[in-house]
This record gives sequence, structure tokens and C-alpha cells, in this order.
Amino acid sequence: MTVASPIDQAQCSTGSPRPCPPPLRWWTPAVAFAVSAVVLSVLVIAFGTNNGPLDDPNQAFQRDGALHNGPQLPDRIGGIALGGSSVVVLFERRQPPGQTLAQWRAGATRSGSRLVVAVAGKPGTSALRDALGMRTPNDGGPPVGYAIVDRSRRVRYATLDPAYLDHASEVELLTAGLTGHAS
Amino acid sequence: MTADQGGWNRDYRALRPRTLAWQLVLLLAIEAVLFQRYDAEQARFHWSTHFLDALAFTSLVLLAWLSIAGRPGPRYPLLTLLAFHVYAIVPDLMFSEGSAHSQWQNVFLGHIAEHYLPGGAVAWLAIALVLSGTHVAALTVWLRGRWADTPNDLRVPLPVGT
Repeated sequence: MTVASPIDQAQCSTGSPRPCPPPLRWWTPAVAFAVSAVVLSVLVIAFGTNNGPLDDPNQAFQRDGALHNGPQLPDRIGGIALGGSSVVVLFERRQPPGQTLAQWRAGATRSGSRLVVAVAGKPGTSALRDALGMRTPNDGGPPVGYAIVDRSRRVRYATLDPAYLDHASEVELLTAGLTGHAS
Repeated sequence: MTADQGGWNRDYRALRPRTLAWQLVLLLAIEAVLFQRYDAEQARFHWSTHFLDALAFTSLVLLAWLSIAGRPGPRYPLLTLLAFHVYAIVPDLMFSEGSAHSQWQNVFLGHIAEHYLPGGAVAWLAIALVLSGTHVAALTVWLRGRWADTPNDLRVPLPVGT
């Protein structure tokens, strides 16, 4: 019985005067690449994004985690006063349950921000949505997410986030980051 | 791509199956943990983008090494990929520790800017596959050359136990 081994250890030890064969057949990297490419493509295309109906069609704009210098807003939009303190505007399609919202509010406003809940279809919501530059989700409906306006009324963050209830700490981090940035 | 006769083993250090196998196991285990962590944060897009960016960059390094040194390298290619991926996600680790993202973090393999490539993760997939495929093609040419240089008596199947 014989096996095909690419290396003869007896003849190819370190310092051998004779050329030794490589430890891999020449076609091995190509086969490994082909298998890896298929697996990676399936992983990235099928599972590599969160692309639900409420998510942003361009994931780059969803929860990018960086404060921006957006447009400066007037001191009142849709009946909501801006300025003086930072404001977190939460966009929802229906009023969140009181207890759930209270828990989120506690985390999101820990740095002293005010919370405004803008429910789709209510007066002023469309004006806020347009002024804050909220993007349209995959399903084409109203946004679910939030925006952050600093105390000088500048838009610093606006993102769709259908799982915002799980991310109160992110809002807290970003509003805390406004300290020293707001003019 | 020539090698002195005493350097054959050194030339093959990056290709040893056992070394590649344990690197692969370690890479898959750690990537599985990272994917799970990003998934729990509804942020798979970020895992995909940073991993593919790291794969593309690693492929460039391996290709440059092969071209300049005339042999495969560095010694631990899959650990190199893992190291570049971890380097690329340093800003996310900082974020989890309470530091918001900022433009200067592009020093981490373009951590901020890379998300805005048109086509997103699929575009990065294409780039990573083209670059890694180019490296594999160059490595295949190098291996074929080495097999062609191998004396015939070293290419024959060996008896079990030798």
C-alpha cells in the first residue's frame, strides 16, 4: 500500500542539497480559494447585512456612530422648540408602550438631553422628518429611528434604527459626545 | 523566483498544512465569535465590511511578499488576516467602551470611509475576491515552478511508514 505524500521527510530536511517538493500540490490553493469564495459569498450576501423592511437601503447611513455637522435648524419646527439643550427626536410609526419608552428615555436622556417622540401621522412629524433629513426605509414608509440636535440647533446625527430600543446606550454615548462639540 | 538549495524548507514555512490547519481553526473560531457579537448588535454589515476590507488588504500584503521576497509569506498568513481584521475593528471596540466614531479612525484600514463605497458589502466582496484570487494565481504559478524543479525521484508516491 502506498500514499502520495508531497514531502519526503528523510530526503528534504533543513539544509538538504536537493530541491524539495512544496508541502502543497500546486492546485491546492486554487481549490481552497474556490471553496472559500463560495462560502464567503453566501455568508456575505445572505447573512452579511441587516436588510429588513425598516432598515436603510444603504446600510452605510444606518448607525454609523459618528457625530456630524449637519444643517442648523430654526428655533422651532412643527411646534417643537429647539436649542438651549440637546434634543433627541425619536421617530416611530406608533406610540411606543409607556414602560418601554420610559426605559429607553432613561438611557437616552442620561446626559441631559430632551426627548421628543414624533409619531407618524401626528402634527409636526413630517416637518421634523424633512428638517432632520431622516431617510426612507426599505418599505418606503415613515422612518423608525432617531435624530440628535445639539444645543445650538445643529443636526448631529440622524439614523434609521428599527431596534432602537436595544440601543439606548448608543444614544447616551452620542449625546454625551456633544459636550465640547456644541457651539 | 529562485532559492538556494539550503533554503527550500524556509521557503515553504507559510505553506505547511499543519500550521495552516491550526491557523484556520483559530481564525474560524474567533471570526464566529466576532460575527455573533456584531449580529447581537444588529450590525452584521459592519462585520462584513471590515472583514472583507481586511481580506483585501491581507491579499495585497501576501502578493507583495511573494513578489518581493520570491517566496510565500508571512509565516502565518491566516493569523495575518485575523490581525488585520482586529486592527480594522479597533474603533468599534472603542465605541463599545464609550467613544463615538470620528474621521481620524480612518487610519484603521479606512474604518469610517469604507462603508460609503458604492455597492457596500457586495462591492467589498468583489474587491476582496479579485485581490485574493490574484494572490492565489501568483502562488499557483510559484508552486508549479517549484514542482517543475523537483527531481522526479522525490515526486513518486512514498511507502507508508517512511
